[in-house]
Amino acid sequence: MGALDWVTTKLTDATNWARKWSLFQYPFVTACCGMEFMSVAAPKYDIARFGAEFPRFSPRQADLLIIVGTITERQGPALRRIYDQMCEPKWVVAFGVCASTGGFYQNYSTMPGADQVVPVDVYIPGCPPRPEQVLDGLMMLQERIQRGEGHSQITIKAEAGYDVPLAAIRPIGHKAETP
Amino acid sequence: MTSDYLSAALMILSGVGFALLLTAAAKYLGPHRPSAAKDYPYECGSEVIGSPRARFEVKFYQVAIVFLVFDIETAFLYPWALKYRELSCAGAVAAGKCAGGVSFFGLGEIVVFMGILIVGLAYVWRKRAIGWE
Amino acid sequence: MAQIVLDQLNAKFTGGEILESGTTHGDEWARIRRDAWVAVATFLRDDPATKMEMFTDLTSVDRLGIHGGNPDAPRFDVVVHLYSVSHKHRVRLYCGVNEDDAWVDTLVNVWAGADWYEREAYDLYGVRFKGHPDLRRILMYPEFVGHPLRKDYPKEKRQPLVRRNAGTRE
Repeated sequence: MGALDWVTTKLTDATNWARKWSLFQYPFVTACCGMEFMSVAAPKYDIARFGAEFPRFSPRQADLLIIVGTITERQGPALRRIYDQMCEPKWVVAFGVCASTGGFYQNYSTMPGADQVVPVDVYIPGCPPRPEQVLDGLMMLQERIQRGEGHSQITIKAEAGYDVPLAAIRPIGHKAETP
Repeated sequence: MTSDYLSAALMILSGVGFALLLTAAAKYLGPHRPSAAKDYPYECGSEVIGSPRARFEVKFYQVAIVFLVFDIETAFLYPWALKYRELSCAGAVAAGKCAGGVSFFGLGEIVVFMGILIVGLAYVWRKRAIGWE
Repeated sequence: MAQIVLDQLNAKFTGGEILESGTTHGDEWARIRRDAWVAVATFLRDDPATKMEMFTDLTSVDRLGIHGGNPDAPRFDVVVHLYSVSHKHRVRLYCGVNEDDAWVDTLVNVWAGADWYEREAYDLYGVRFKGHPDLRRILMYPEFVGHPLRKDYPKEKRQPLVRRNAGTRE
């Protein structure tokens, strides 16, 4: 059944290629990082040339949840529900240090990073990050998508019966071992 | 003549076919994981407040109906304008010149048509259904 | 610069409602007794010489351990900043409340803008505002326990509301 595996692998690669070049983003903007998000979407730094053209402010039509800005404890359930309402496959990018680790806030109301409630695929540090940094993070995410290592892609694979260990995400640049 | 219809039919078929192809690809190649959260209405992540079946103001309906009537009138004016030369010629039109006398059929018919609609417009205007308030 | 405000206050309220007043670093301030809080606010808003139409800020200060040598000083101070757009002067009003008796009359009926400021003071300090139409937490979630900006609330304490299943697949 080697031939069937080859077809399936090629099909998966093709699908992932199509997915990475047509990300529909849901920018969940809460704070100042939204300004840098706007710069990235504007013509000078142009996130549209990566295929991530339209911000869909609805989880129904989005597959990339970009968490832009500080998340408070009170927003936790709303963010979790929005993530749950998105259809698979879905990816999450934490934009800025507040969404990554809580940023310079370490207090009673700030959640120490959005990954406390949703699984994050790529963290983009910066306060706020330069648009070039954001595009670098996006390219990193595209590499992850192509290799099938987004959290939701791994979950789908595991549910389909493939053996995917929990720590299956490799650092970018790491050469794959032959299985 | 058949080839005109053939190309139109091909275009319709490819449009429909493309849509069906993409739907099939999403259905068979994409993951399918329904959950309770996905069926819940979207209200920016919070609990749903109020019903989506709110009452509408009737002025939207008024504006839509008035627009529809006069839009159709405009649509009827286009073919009339295209055929005006033939309609205002008592004979046949040969090489761009009228071979007969002047006929007021075209003009008369459009005056009657628009007259009826102008009476309607006057009524709608007086009853203040054209404005927004 | 806003000495007229203090003069008007001291002229009108002679029954000891103005506990203290003065000028510090260029700002005029007055400490009001709790039972005269709304009366003083209404007077400042309506009197033609002061005419404080604009409510700028309301907050609270926790003086736990900082009593300037007077151990009977009230624990919380409710601080209100007012501004007059017509006369261009400002004033700051203080009202001290004790910890076990932490309430003040609401200023919502004098300036509608005091609404959310009072909710914030309630949320973060626990000072209640009598007569407020909707006194509930504004920054923290409703099930939060405690008042975080009090000086005896631990700085490092976290009360998370939701957390995902870390370490498991999802």
